[in-house]
Amino acid sequence: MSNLVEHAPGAAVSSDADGEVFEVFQQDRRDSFPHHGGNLRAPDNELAIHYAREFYGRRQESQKLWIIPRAALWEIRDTRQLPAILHALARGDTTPEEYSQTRGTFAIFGQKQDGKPFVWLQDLEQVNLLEAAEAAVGLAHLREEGYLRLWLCPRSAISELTDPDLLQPPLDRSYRRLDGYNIREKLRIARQRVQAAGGKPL
Amino acid sequence: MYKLGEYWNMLLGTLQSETRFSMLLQENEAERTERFFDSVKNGGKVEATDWMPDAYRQSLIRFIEMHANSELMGVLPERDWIMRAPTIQRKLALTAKIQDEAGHAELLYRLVEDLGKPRSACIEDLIAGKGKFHNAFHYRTKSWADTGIIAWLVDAAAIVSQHALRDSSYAPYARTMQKICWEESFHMMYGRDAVITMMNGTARQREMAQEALNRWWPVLMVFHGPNTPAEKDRDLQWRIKSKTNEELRQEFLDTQVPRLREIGLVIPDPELRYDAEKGRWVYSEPNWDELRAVVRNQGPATAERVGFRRMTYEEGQWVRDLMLYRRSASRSVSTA
Repeated sequence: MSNLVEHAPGAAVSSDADGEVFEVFQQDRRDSFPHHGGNLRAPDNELAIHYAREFYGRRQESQKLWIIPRAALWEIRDTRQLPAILHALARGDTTPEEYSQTRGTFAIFGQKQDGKPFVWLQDLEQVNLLEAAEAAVGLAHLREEGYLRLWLCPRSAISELTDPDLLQPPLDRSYRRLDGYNIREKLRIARQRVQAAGGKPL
Repeated sequence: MYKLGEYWNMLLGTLQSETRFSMLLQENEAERTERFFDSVKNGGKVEATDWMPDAYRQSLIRFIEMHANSELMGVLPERDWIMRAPTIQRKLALTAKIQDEAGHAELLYRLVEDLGKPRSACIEDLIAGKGKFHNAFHYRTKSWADTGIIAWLVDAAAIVSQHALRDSSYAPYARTMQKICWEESFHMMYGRDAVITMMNGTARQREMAQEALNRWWPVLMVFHGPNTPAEKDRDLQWRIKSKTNEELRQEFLDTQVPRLREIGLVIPDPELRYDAEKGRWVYSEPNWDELRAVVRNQGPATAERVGFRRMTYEEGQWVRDLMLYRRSASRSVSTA
């Protein structure tokens, strides 16, 4: 096993004076699994959860949020290649060593189509980072669905938010109505008035 | 088997010796760039972690930074009306819309940061009057009807652009646009609802709505930019965006002109008509000189808005300091 570990070519610095970058996965009632929503920068893990709720769950569009420090995420950019090459998603102080030593549960995410978001695929138990990488590539092959890229992270790095009081509050304070503002009746009145005026200024 | 730590250090060493790295790349750079542009022209997608030519990266930064600035500056004309909203529902809806727009700015600044320009640098450029933002947000709001016209028509014009951006070659931007479009669509409904309500009200309310439309129409007609030919538009060539300015304007007119007319609003352009033969809207030549001046930050409300943003940034410094303190404190605890 000779896994290579390097930065992804476009990897950005994930940690600076303003805080750390966290990747956010979200799952709505129509989704089978959490999918990648985007990311945010926060001073710490606790505030990252607050921001994730504001950015990705305020309009009741998520039943579950996963908040993951970018520094804990690894990318496999070519799933056909074995041994797998692991790319650190974040530039900076991430080293794979801490994850390579200890065994634990790893979450695997896959991108199936160019440009589409990553989706959670499976958890792998009792593995270290390198074993997780090998298994993830094997898994992608097994599924015969052809994944373009994979991400993996230790399950322990994921903060999960599912509290319905925060994500699906009983009182909708968002002033969003998915079926739109009910303008049908108002529009009918307006049209009637315009017709009655017969083209004269109102 | 390599020991991971050793391998890691070796690779870091290679990456850090920039000269060696660029020498290796130099011969293939031109070829690689050409291959990259072939790919994006043919619908290929680029992820943040992919290699990209610097010209493409700089274009993305310029384009997305302006979008982010526009979301952030766009809340200021509406902010003035929170305390003057006519009903509690309107007040809450307007506040929620403003929070959405500020959220969009945050998501977009994140994209810019991952491309290499920190958020703090974008904000500093913005408050120094060097950052660019959309023409519509350089004008004052004068009545409650302005907020309805902005939420309806400025957001509708923005949706037309943003829908097309869901096809962008830069995949993180395209995906962010999915979320933003979803929120903008109910902003537009809110604005349209507010304007129709005014049109069904008193004669004075109707006058107010018409007067607001008269002032905002010229701003909307230049919103998508001049009629630049596709071959001269580099953002289009690289599929950072996927439709020409004129295509976007025509799409906006297709949808919104009938919607304005059906509720009795008169569009303040005597030349505006649909030319069935050409299959397009014709209109009086918009004032492009004004647009050029406005986007160079010489609009009627530019100084006031940029000044307000500067003031809030300075007033918020203690919050950022506190966050930083909290971060360094939590770090020293965890390493103790």
